Amino acid sequence: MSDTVVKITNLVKRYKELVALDNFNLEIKKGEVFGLLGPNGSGKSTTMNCVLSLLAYDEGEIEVFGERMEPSRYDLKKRIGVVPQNVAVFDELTVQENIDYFCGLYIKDKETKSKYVEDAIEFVGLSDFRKFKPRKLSGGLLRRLNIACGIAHKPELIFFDEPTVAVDPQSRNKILENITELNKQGATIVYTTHYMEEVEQICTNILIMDRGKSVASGTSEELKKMIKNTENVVVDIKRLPAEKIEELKKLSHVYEVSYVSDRLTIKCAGGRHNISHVIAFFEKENIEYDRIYSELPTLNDVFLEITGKELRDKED
Amino acid sequence: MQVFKSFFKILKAQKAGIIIYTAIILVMLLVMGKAGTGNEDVFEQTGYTIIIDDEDDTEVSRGLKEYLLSIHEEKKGDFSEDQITDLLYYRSVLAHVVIPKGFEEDVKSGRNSGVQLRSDDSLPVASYLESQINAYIKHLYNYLSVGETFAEADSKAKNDSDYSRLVTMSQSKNANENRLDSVNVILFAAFSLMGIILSGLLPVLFKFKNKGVAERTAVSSYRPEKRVLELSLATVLFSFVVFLALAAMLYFLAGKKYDVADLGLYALNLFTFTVVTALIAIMIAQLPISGSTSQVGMITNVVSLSLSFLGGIFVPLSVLGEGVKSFGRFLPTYWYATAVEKIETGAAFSEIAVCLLIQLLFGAAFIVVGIICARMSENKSARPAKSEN
Repeated sequence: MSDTVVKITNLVKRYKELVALDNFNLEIKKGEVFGLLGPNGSGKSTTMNCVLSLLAYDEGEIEVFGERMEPSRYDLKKRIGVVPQNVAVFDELTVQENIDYFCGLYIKDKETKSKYVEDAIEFVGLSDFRKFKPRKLSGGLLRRLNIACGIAHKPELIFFDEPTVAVDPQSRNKILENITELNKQGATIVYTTHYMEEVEQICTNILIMDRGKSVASGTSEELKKMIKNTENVVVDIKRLPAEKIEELKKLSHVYEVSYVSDRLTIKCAGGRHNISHVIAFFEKENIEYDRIYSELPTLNDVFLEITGKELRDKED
Repeated sequence: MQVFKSFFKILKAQKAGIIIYTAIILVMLLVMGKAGTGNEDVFEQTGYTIIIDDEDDTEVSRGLKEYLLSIHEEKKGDFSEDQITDLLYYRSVLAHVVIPKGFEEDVKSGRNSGVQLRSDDSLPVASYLESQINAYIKHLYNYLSVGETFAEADSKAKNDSDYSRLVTMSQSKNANENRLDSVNVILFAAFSLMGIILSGLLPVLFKFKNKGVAERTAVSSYRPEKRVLELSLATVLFSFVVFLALAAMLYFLAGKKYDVADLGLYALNLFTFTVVTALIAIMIAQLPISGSTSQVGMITNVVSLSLSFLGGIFVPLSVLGEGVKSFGRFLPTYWYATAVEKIETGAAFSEIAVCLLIQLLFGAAFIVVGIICARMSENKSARPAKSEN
């Protein structure tokens, strides 16, 4: 039996002239926490909506649990959970009633449903708030309710669509913990976001997409190995003459130097002790600086190098 | 029955709005109903306290006095002119009638009788009494002049001048007006029904249509047809409860004035209109709007008021202009009002049935529009990908 949970082949989705998905391919294996990473408008949500049969597509093939996904495949839908980006609950129902309602859309048996609802409430830590109406919950608690409504029926495949947008750090950590825990319990997770740190933190496999296409995929380490950049030396420095920047570019393994807002970023490809070479250069040139440190490339560097643009929107 | 049960849980949360709306409407119905019953006393025969001085003291003058006292009450006593003036001033007595000497001769010869009347000019007493006196004298003269004896002429003149018969006619007319008041209450019930059903149903239906909730439901394994069926059942049940409550209220207010057959027809008409209203609510819930609280309030008012004004609910069909009536024919309220009119006038059941049928056709049209709107919004939903092979 195949361990492929979701398989998308040559998916095309057009909005009139705009091609939202352009021969997009994807394969998600059982037990993965699959990160779908891309900037706003890259096609992440469109992909998810097509898989969930919420959106019609023009060409291609979608298989879930090895079977063709169609709107009427309720047997497949029963095994899928969705946590949408926006909190989608009834304001008039309590926390418990909301979870009960959405769980009841999948589970008929009353006893099983009650148990699952209890489990979900405990899982997201809303036991003390079960009788609360959503408007009485904080933003973080609302997000947890949103998650509980999507996972209460114990699905095998769960889609999380940017669940941490506009969430405080504490709630964000709790949500990420929950997702990791769900994965440990056996669920395959599809996690769409444009927060690269989250993807690096929890995803076992990542696909970066841009303009409806897959631009790279693999584990975080594999993705980073795909690019030239191996180390960034960052220096907080005031007043650096342009000729010194040119001289820095001539250092061994340095391939790009940028100086923006008193921050100097030196990108290195390969080599060891690059930071020592930079410090030596500053001492030799008698240039004072505030702080210097070295960092490994991020997924944003991966995205930047592959697509030539930043992954994260400026407002983020 | 997940959707069905949740429907009523959400409806429960709307109870404050529904109760306020219902209370306002019921108060209005009660006021309308009570206004009708209060009119019954208006046409009761009114007698005044009067003083009659019979200076002629003949059988004719005594006949007139007797006739007047059959209607009015005499203030007995021996009063001076000044005392009578005071009594009139303080309205202890409303008129002073003086039958002058020679009255009998004047009446028999057809001359002006010369009966004098004194009363407060600000009251219509004088003209009322004058018309009674003139009526008696005129009829008496007529009978005497054709050779009737005084006894016969007096009896017939009194009979012909019997205002109580006119009052009986008035009371009969009054009964009709009470029925008209009841008809107004029955017509107003259509507005009430629309107000309560739309204000109760729309917020709940829009909650289920909320994009996030609808998508969450759409991705679930809950079949859409089951969801639609449960929502429809809940809508029907709520509408039926509103119908029963209103029908009971109408029976309390106007039921006694109708026989069982008429009551049955009115109930059937109201039930038909209930079905139409529920379908209007379902249609509105399919429109591509968010259904916020303010939108629902506005829609409820616009729909119920415009349908009521143009359909002859607030203004009787007979008063509506031809242009409005022509337009009104394209509204279900017009046919509800027409059915009420036909039941009131005792039209054949076939004529009433046509009105009910037309209302149901409107209901069918509304549901078709609703389905079209729903299909249009579902155009975005998924269909299987075209095969590449």
